[in-house]
Amino acid sequence: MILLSITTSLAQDKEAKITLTFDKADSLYVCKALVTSEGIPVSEVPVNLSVKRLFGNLPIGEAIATDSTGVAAFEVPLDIPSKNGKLTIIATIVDDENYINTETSGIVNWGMVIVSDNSNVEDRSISAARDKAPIYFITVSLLIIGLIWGTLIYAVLQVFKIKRLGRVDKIEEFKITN
Amino acid sequence: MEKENNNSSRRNFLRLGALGGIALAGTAIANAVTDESPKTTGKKVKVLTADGKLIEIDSSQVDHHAAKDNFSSEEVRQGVEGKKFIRVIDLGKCANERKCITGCQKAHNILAPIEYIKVKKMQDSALAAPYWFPTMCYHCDNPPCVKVCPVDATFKRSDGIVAMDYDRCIGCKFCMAACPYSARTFNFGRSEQLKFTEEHKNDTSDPNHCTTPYAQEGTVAKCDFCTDRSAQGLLPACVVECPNGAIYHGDELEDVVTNGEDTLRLKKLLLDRAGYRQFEELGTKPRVYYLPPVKRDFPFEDATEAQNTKE
Amino acid sequence: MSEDINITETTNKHETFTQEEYMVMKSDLLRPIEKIGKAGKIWIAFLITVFLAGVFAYYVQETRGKYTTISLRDYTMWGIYISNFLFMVAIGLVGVLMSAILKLTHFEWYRPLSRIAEVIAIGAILFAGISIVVAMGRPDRLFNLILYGRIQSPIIWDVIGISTDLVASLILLFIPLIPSLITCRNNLKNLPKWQLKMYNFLSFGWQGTPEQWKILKKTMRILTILLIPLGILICTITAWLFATTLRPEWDSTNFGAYFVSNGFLLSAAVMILATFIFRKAYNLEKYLTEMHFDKLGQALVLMALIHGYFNINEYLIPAYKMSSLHENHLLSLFIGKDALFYWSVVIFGIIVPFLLPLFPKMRKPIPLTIISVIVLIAGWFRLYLIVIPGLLQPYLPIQDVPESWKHYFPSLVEITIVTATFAGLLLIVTVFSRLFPIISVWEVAEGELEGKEEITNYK
Repeated sequence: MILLSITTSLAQDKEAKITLTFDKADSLYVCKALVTSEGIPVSEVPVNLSVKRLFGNLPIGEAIATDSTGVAAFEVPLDIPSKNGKLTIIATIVDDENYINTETSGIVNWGMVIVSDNSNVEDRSISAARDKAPIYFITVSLLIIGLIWGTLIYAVLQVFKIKRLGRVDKIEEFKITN
Repeated sequence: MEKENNNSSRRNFLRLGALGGIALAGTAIANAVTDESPKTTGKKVKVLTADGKLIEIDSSQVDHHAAKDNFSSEEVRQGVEGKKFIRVIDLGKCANERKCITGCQKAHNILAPIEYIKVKKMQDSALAAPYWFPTMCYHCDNPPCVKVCPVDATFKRSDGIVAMDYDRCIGCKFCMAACPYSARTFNFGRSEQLKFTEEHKNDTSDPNHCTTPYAQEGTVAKCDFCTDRSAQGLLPACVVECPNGAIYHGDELEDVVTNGEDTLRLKKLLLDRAGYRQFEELGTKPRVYYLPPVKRDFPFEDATEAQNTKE
Repeated sequence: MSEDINITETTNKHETFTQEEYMVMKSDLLRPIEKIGKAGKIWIAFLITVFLAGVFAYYVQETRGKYTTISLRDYTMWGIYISNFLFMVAIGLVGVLMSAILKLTHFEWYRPLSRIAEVIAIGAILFAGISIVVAMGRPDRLFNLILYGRIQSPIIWDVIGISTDLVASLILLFIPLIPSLITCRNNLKNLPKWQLKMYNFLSFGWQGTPEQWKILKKTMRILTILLIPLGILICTITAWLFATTLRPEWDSTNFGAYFVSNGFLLSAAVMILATFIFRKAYNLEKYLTEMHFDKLGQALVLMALIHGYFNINEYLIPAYKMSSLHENHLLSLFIGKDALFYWSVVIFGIIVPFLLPLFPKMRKPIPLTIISVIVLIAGWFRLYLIVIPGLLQPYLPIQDVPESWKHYFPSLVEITIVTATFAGLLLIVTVFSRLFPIISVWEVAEGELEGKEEITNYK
C-alpha cells in the first residue's frame, strides 16, 4: 500500500522530502520512510516516527537514520489503540545539520479498535443518576415508604370516620327527641 | 340527605386523592426505572451545508469543540465521546514548585487559599522517604461523593470526569464529608473571591484558561481535569505549568499520557514504574496513578516558607 | 352528662373514683389553660426574644457571607448545626420511648407522660429539620431535594424519614387529644371565643360513643406500634449520614446502634426534665408523682447501661487495635487535645446516669432532674465530639492553609442560631401546654381505674 503525502519546507538548508510507505511483513507492521532531497535519496538522516494522539504525538521507537537507499524502516507496534482503527503516522526530520525540519503524515488502518467501555456509566448503580438507581433499591424503598404512609393515611381516614359517626349520632338524637 | 351527600363527596375526594397519589407514585417509579438520556438537546446550531446553504439543526448532530460552545446541561452530563481521561503523577519529579497550583488558580480565576490541586509533604512512616505529593480530585470510578449527593449535582460522566452542576448544588457539603481525599472546596462567600469572580467573569486572557467557572456562592467546587481543554486535546493548566513535567495527562482508551514534552504509553509506564493509586484499599478506584519516587531526579527539599497564611 | 367521659367503658378492676375526684382532676389539669401567671408570660416573652435573635442571626449569616459570619471552612465543613441536628433527632425519640414502649408493655405509670413526650418529640423533629436547612449553602434551592432527589443518597432518606416522623407524631399527638378537646370546650367557658371554636373544630364531632372509642383506641394502638420502628429508623438513618462515608472516625458498623442508644438515653433525660418543670410550674404534683421520677430514674440507668455498652464497642475496641487510620483521632480523644472534653462526656453522660440513680435517694425529683440536665449537656457535647474533631484529622494531612482552617470553634452567629432552636422547642412545648391539656385527662382517668392501686400503694 503506497500513500503519498508531501510537505515542503522553507529557506536556507537543503530541502528534504519524506515519502511514507506502509507494509505488512511476517505479521509485523513496517513503515518505511524514504527521504529524498532534490529527487535523490539521502542516507544517514535520522527520522522520527510518531502516532498522532489526543494530547500530542506518541513516539514509535528511537530515531532511525536512513540507510544507503535513503529508507528508514520502522516497526510499528500492533497494539496501538484507535477509535475506528485508523492511525495517523507522522514522520519528521528535526534538528538535522544538513536539512530543514520537515514533516509528513499518513493515515493507515493499523490501529487496534478499542470500543469505549462508556457503558458502565449507563449502568444502574448506587453512584448513578436519579433515574438509574438499582431496582432492588427502588422497590425496597418504595415498599417501606408505602407501608408507613399507608398506615398514616389509614389513621387519618379513621379520624374522618370518627367525625362521620359523630354526625350520625346527632341525627339519631334529634330524631329521638322529636 | 345532606349528610350522605357530604359523605359521598368526601369519599369521592378521598378517591381522587388516592388516585392522584397513585399517579404520582407511578410517575416517580416510571421516572426512576426508565432511561432519561435525551436524544436531542433542543439547542439549534447554524451550519453551512456542502452546497453552500445555511441551515439550522439540533446541536446533538454536530461534532463540536467544547471550548467554543456552551454545552446544554444534558450534554455536560454525557461526557466527551470515546475518551476516558486518566492521569499519572511522577513523584520523583515533584519539587514543590507550586506552579501547578498557581497555574490552576489563574486558569480558573480563583484566588488563594482556594486550591483545586494541592501539594502536600508526605512521609508514610518514620523511616520512609519523604516526598512531595500533588493531589487533586481523582475523578474516581467508584466515587463516594457521587453516591451521596442528594440532588445529582455531582455526577460521573462517560469520559471519566466527575463533574459539578453549580446550578443544582444545594450546598449540603455531604460530598465534601464523603471524599476521603479532601479534594473538594466550598465557596463560603469570601468577599475577595466574590469580587474577583465578578471582575474576571469574562476574562479569558490566561493562556491556560479553562471555561469552567468557579462555583457559585454556597456551592462546591473541585478540579475538573480542565474539561473543555481536555476535550480539545489541550493539556490542563497544571500539566502545562509544571516545570519538571511531573504530571502526565492522557486518554486511557488511547493508552497514552503526556506531560507536554514526553509522550508515553500508559500501560507500559505503569507496569515498568510500578504505578499505584492512593488509598487503593478504600475502593474508590481513582483515575490518578502515582509513580513512586524511586529514582529521584533531585533530592527531596523541605519547604522554606508557609503558604496561604492570609485568611 | 353523656358528653363527659364514658366511664362504664373501662373495666372496673379496682375501686372506681367518685365524681368529686374526677372534677378535681379535671380542674387541676385544665388550670394551666385557664390561667397564665406573670412568670408564665415572662417565660414566653423570653423564649420569643431568643428565637427572634436566632432569626436575625440567620439573616446576618445569609446576607453578610458565610466566610466571615460562621467558622465553617473546607476541612470542618460540618459544625454545630449538624451536631445540633443530631441532638434534636436524639431527643425526638422521646415519643417512641414514653408513648410507645411503655404503653405497649402495660406500664401504667406512663399515662400522664405520653402527651408531654409527643409534644417534645414534634418540636424536636421540627427543629432538627430547621437546623439542617440553616446549614445548607443554598437554602433557596431547597426544592431541588424534591425535584431532583436521588433515592440513593442518605440525605434523601433523612428528608423522607424526618417528614414521615413529623407527620406520624402529629397524628399520634392529635388522635388521643380529641376527647380532651371536648373536655376543654365544655369546661373552660371563659376562654376567648377563637380558642373555644378551635377546640370544637379540632374535636371532629367527638361524642364519646362506644364506636368512636373503639376506633380511637384501635387507631392509637396501630400508630403507637408504627411509631417504634419509625422512630428507631429515623435515628438510624441519621447515623447512616456518617456511617456511609469513608472517614475513619465514622467508618463504623456500630454507628446505628450507638446513635439509637444515645437517643434513648437523652430521651429519658429530657423526659425527666420536662416532667419536673411541668410538675413545678403547673402544680401537678398529684399526677406527676415521685413514683414517676422513681421509674424514670430506673429507665435512665437502663439506657445509660445500654449506651455505655455501645460506647465501649465504639471506642475501646478500635483503641485496642490502634490502626493508623483511627490512631490520630482516638489518641486525640483519649489523651490529646480533646481528652478533657471526651472524658467529661463519658463521666457525666454515661457513668453518672448509670451510677447515681441506682440509689433511691437520687431518684427523688430534684436530684434526678439535676442529673438529667447534666446528661443532656453531656449528650449535646457527645454529638459534637462525633461530628467535629475527626474532621480535623483527614486521611491526607492538612497543610498550607490559613489559621482559621486548622481548628473549629463556633462563631457567635452559630451559637445564637443553635440557642434559638432550643428556644423554639421550648416555645412550642410551652404554647401547646397553654392551649391544650398537657396531661391527657381521659388517659389518666382510665389509668386511675386500672393503675390506681399501683399509684396509691407506692412506697
